Amino acid sequence: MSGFNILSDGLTYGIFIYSVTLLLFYVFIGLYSIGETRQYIHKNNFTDYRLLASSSHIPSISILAPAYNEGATIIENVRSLLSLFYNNLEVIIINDGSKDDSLEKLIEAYQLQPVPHYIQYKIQTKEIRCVYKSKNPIYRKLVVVDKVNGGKADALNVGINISSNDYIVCIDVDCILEQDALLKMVKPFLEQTDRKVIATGGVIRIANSCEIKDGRLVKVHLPDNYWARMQSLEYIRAFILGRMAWARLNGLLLISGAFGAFDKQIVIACGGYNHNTVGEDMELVVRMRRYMEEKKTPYRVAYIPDPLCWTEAPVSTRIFGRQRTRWTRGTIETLKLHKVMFFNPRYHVLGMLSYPYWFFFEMLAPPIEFIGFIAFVIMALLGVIEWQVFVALLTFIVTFGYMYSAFAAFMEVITYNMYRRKTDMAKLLLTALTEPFIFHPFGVWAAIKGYIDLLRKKKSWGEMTRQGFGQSPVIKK
Amino acid sequence: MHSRDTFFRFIRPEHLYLTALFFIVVTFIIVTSIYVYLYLRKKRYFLKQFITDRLDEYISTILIGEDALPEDLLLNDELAGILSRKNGQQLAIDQLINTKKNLTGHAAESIIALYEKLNLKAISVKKFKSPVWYKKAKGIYELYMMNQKNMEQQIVKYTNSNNEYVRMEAQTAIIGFSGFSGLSFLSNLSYPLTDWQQIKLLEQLHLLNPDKMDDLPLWLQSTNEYVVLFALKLAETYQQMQVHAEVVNCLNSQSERIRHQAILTLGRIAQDDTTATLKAIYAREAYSNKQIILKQIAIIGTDDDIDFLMTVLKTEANDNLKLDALRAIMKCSLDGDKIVADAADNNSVITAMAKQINYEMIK
Repeated sequence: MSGFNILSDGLTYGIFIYSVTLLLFYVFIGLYSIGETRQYIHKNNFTDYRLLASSSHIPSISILAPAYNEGATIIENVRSLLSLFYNNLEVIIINDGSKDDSLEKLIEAYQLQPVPHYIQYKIQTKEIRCVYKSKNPIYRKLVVVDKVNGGKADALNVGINISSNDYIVCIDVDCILEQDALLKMVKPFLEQTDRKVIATGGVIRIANSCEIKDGRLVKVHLPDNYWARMQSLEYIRAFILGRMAWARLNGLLLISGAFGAFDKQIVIACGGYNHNTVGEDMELVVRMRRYMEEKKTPYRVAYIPDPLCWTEAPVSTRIFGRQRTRWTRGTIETLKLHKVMFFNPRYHVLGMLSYPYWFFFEMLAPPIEFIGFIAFVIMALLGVIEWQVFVALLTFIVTFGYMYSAFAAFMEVITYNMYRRKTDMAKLLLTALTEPFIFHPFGVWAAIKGYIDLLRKKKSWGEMTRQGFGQSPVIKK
Repeated sequence: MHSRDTFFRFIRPEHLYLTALFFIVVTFIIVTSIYVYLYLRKKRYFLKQFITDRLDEYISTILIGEDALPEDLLLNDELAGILSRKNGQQLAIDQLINTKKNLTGHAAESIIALYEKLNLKAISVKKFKSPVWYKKAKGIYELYMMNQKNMEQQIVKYTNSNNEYVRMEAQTAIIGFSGFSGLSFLSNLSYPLTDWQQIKLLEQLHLLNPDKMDDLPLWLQSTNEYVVLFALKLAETYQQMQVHAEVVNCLNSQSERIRHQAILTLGRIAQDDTTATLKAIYAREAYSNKQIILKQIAIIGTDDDIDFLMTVLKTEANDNLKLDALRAIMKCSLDGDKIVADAADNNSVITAMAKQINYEMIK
């Protein structure tokens, strides 16, 4: 048997087995998520959150919102956070050495003054310049911290050090939260009995083209922009199917950095956010889980399928590509940091299922697809492609993708039904038809660039441009 | 034969096309279901609007008249037709419950009367009798929201149900029907009472006039950790001074959470020797309980506790505990600021902490 034949067989069988396993995982995730979502809806369909919003017995929460060059939208964003329904709340805005006038705007709008505050560096961070609180009792929940620039993870660690409450909710400052979002996020912590709830994740939805008024979402629309619309579908698939299934398995590895609640004591015990990775959100969850596994303490990471947090998705290929590049780097860095868990039975579901899944199907999927594509081009040039089989395989995989997307859209409609207009749903489903040919290959290319960045040891987050809700473009790094 | 040929003998293009066809058919069915569902949802929305408008008319008429619901209440044919259907009945129940949440007194009673008059109670009872947990829980919810007290005896059995949600709704219902005396379910509770449910019950009780809690000492000695925790919260919220001894006993519990809550409760039902009791357990307590002890001493302490607090300030390595000790010193003694100033002498950490506390005191 020639070397070429061995290589060819290896590719054929290897990629086939890999693909079948991945598809089986998708089928399992899709079906397994149904039970969790159904259960959640049944459990919560007559919960009256109003009764608890003003209760003095609910646990205290600190919202941590790092801000870097958010001057264009910061006033509205903070107003939105201060208007949330929750009695026992502290809103901490961490100005991470912004170069714009974010801090000055905050000082003026919220009548802030420097206050003496003894800083306990429970987690090591960059220097804190000053802590501000408002002279106006209306804004008594607000704390603004000005610090030397150190990145998002460092800013969040400062927030943890400053926070005086039991639970922390880490969010992106420009996210729009539903009014009862905090009550829903804190509920799993209060329902714990035999297993400690260490974190709760919330669903993120795309706010592009939605109507926003006074920092509140008033009407949901499907994004007009193709890339944002495609991400809407992707988020529905990821949050309603993927994360719900993983939550049911108690194998969730990622809570989005845009919106997650954590038990502060466990976060501090784990050393807070790691500022040596661009995937600090995933890394923290993995580290917290690992900590609990090593302490042999029963625990759970919960997930809420309600659409509670709305964020602006990147609308240009440049920014979208950077985001995906960063996500890939974050995944690789996190998995590398915790490689001890790989197929390690000591870590139960985490080591035997979650980690291997992320390793094979999240981290390795882009290079495998990329290598497959290169091999396809070479084989096509050499004339060894069996085109009949190729077209059949392509049809098979593309139609499976359509079925999966349609199923995700169906789950969205029968659960939270955010896109109520028939035309919106039609647009979403038609957009899905283009995914295998435009959106997906671009995502794979961006991920490959993530690998390249990692090899070049590139550390920065990259520039992020946000349009702002009804605002002029804002540059973030 | 080349092994790839073997592969293609099993995975033939026609197999793949057949499977793809299956995916296309399933996709088509799913997409059709999406549109059917959207259509039904829209229909349901209009039906809901119709029911809401009609019921609002009836409710307004009743409220304006300030009379009892007329015996000969006549429904128009269309509404009667809708209310004879299952989905219409459920929408009407949901609507009445939503309206009742915002009303009290005569207005709320009128809603209940309308619920009974429209024979909607039978629908709720049917759900309550269902073996499916979420239907049963929903049935209980509807019955207590509509104050169907004659169902109390049947519902009370479920306050110790093995299903968490049925149990929670039944407990809420019993408190709704009987107020403080409904708490008697705690004596037989063998399942957990989550923090969420405890908060919910406390908020429910908050709306009522406090009543005697004769079984409180028994609940404080329950073998169910959750019952003890809830009893401690009741003793704290309603300042049940008579159970001081039982609460002090809880400081010896194996459970850190019970000891934590017991310390908090003692702060509210303090007697002359309470600070001495708290100081005696301080050294052996976990970090978070130490914090709570210092916070309680800040509330109930006197000059007699300054020596203890100064010892904490000097010996504790944790800055949070030092901060709490300083706060307690400021609050326990009229000379607190002077004591703190002396302690801060040549100590930059204490000085920084003292500045923060001074600011807090001024605020």
